[in-house]
Amino acid sequence: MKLSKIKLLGVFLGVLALLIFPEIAEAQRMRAAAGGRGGGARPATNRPAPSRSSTARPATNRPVTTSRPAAASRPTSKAANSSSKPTLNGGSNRVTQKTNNASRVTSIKDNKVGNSTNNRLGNNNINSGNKNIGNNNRINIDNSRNVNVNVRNTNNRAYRPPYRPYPRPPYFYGGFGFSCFRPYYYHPYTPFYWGPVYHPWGFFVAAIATTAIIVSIENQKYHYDQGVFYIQEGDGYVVVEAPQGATVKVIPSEAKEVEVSPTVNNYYYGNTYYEKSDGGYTVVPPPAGAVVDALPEGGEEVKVGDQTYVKIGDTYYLPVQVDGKNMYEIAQVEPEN
Amino acid sequence: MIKKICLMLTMALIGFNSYSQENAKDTTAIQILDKMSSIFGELNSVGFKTQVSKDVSFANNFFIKEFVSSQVKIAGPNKFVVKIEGEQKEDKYSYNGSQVAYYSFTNNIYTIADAPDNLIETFDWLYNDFGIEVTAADVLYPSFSKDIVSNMDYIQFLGQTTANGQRVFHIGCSNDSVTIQLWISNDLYFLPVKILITYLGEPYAYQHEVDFFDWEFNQTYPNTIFDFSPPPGARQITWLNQK
Repeated sequence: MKLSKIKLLGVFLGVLALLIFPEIAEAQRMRAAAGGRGGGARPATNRPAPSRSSTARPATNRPVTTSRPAAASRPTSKAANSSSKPTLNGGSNRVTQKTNNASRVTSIKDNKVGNSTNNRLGNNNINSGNKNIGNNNRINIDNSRNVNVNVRNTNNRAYRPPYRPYPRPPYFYGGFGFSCFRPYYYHPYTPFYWGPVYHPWGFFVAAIATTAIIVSIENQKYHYDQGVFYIQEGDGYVVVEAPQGATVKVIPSEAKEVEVSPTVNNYYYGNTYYEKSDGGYTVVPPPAGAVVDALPEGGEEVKVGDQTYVKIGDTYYLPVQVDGKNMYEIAQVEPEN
Repeated sequence: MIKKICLMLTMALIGFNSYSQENAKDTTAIQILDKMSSIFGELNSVGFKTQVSKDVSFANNFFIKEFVSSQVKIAGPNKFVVKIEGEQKEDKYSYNGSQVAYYSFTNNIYTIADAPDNLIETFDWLYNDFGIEVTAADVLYPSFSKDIVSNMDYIQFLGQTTANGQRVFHIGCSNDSVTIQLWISNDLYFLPVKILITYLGEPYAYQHEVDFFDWEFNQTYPNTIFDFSPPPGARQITWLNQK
């Protein structure tokens, strides 16, 4: 019995010695590991700290970190999903505002269409108002006043018929047949600027050039200067539609030739068509079927069925493409039957 | 004796006449059309896709065929959106209950017009004022089968056949100016699978054919799909009313 107590004490002292001198235990475990088997103790996870020099480590002068920018502020309270809307997330928070779209509709009956001079319906007065039309660098222009004159010439025709028949039936819309020779090819309406001497209909100028000539048609006196017709209004002049039938001696050099038929050409400048005559150049109705490459400002794009025309005054222009170039064909718009 | 002969002739003529009328407007055909119309009358919303082909006069004596596909969502009582893709065009018409907007994806232009406050009046208004015919709008009218019966001289059930891979009822209708053929699905819903309209115009007849697929019923569509917001750079143009 005593012997067993002594053995037990020996074992206790042995264990105590192992606890006090861990290097010994390490050595034993590594061996056991080398043996690979034999139920060696599991390696301890607490490794002894390596001996370090006790000399103080020179402190590197690290710059004091500037205060970090705060993280992008996120809303602390997330949008609740308990909206009254029974949707997935209670409705999204839009960035763009919903727009209130304004209706813009005109009736084909309000326009003078067809080839007659007396079938105008509705009022075509253009109130140029305070619109600042065109380039601000122009001289002698007074935009600060309201002008309300009929800049449209009620005796003008919207077009004159082509010399040859159309190859296909017209497109009927609202009791009118729209006819063109070329297929529709949309391109955006971009008004052409003919230079500082050109002004669109309704434009008011305080004075006109001294070179302006006076043309009288049907008891109306017009002042013509470089492709633009004016009538006197108060203490200034307003640009109006060129009166068909008026003859002028000179047209601007920028006027382009427009083929009306194999034997007839017209001259086109600023939405006015001229035909050469004995006395000079006579203003004529737009020749249906002819094509022009530029339209002035003052027109509006109108959706007619599936197609979009540019309408200037009473004349409809169909966007077309000729030899790869964007052009406009003057449409014939005749009452059905 | 003469009286008896006259009576017999009269009876025979009346009998022949009533026989002709029965044959001219077939009951089976009308019942199928009624069933289809009734189902549409009970729907809260409907969506479908179409493939349309139509003859277009390119020149005198020269018709060409145009193809258009469209995607349609209609929600009662006052919303629809239709996206149309065709040759050189990609358009959308949307109706939010107060306005109809047209937008051309190809040209980035749009039009807006104040519209009536319900679908049926808006379909009528679009057709009468702007010449726009919403695909298959006819079959959505509550009076569709009644209109067919009153406007057509002949309505025939032409039997069962297969169209676009489905078993269908084939119905033909005609009057002096038009022939309409409908292929209606032989299943629980009696939906139009194909409609072929032949206009008997002068000097030539021309056709308009619509195939329907991907039907949806009573889906809840988000209101936003019926709204229109002009994309950046889009230009509003004027819509010419033909009235």
